[in-house]
Amino acid sequence: MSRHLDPRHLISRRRLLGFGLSGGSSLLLGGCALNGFSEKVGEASEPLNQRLEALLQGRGPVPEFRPDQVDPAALLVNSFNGIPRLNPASYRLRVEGLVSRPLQLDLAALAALPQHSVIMRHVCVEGWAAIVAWSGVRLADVLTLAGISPLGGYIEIDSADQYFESWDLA
Amino acid sequence: MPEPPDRPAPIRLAPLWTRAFHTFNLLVLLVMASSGLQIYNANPVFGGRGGATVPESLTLGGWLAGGRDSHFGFMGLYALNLGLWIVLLLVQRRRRLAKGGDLITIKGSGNSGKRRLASHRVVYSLMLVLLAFSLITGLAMFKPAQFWWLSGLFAFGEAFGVSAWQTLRVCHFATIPAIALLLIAHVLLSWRIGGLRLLRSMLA
Repeated sequence: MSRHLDPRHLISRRRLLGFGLSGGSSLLLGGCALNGFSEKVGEASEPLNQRLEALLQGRGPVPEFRPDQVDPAALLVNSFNGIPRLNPASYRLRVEGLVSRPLQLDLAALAALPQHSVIMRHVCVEGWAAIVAWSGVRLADVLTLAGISPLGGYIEIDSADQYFESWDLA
Repeated sequence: MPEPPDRPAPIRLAPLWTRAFHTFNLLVLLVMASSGLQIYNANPVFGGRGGATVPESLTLGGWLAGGRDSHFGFMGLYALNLGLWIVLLLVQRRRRLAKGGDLITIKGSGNSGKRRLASHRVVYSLMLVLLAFSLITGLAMFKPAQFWWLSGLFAFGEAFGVSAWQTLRVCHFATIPAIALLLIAHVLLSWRIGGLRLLRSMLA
């Protein structure tokens, strides 16, 4: 391609360049004004990203680690509304929604289910990670017990500190 | 009667795809870096919770989720643009990439012009490698369960008491200052080789 520029136009080009640079720096400096922009970007890219992630999901088990790699100090406690105090006697795990048998499991019922433990890396959305040893009941076992409908696409998890999170069942 | 001064030769524009790649890449890199710094602030790589944060004026998104929206929203465009560019370079402009002889030229050649061109090829190629590295380290952090082998490569820091994850975070973060330095070298070397006219041919 060999387009030639008339030198008379150079000043206006230079001005254009100036506009371009100031535009670029305002993108960098005006971050606060662009928060709505980030949300729009997220909404626009989320469907495509979800498809990509679905392609990657369920390809083999998560990597496990050695017991000596567990680092309890690295696990930060992130509580949404303070750390809730649970009463073991009245604690119930409620499972409801698109299930054939809605459940109210107390601790004894949970303890009666098959117990598993796994050492894996817990990765936080904030960027930090910690290798931790988890043990207890598998979510899949609880959902099978409740008879989850194949029509359900996501599960919503409400925790005792009023935090909530949804997981893709894919 | 004195001759009228020579009018400067008209500037030949760089090919459209070269300019398009540069413009798009620069804008996307600004978004990736500023939204990346927003995520950094949620838990600073250096110091963790309570570590020094990046000034808010350099960040994009306003809070963690906003930063992640932009970072994950633009990562695909960034990867596509860069991948396309590298493929085009390999197929059409392989001469622009560094080769083994360039280092010898930089060390030994008496021709300063040749030395500059060779060092520019090296800087330019390093930029591509570094941008690709930012994508690879990003992917290792984005999907550590699926790309466990990729994330696992960063376990080399464990010999020095640094967890693989921390090594990965530092590597991913380090691409920002590294690309900034290479960008400065790239612009300065372009300046030495083609002056304002070359810059204009890219930006006009």
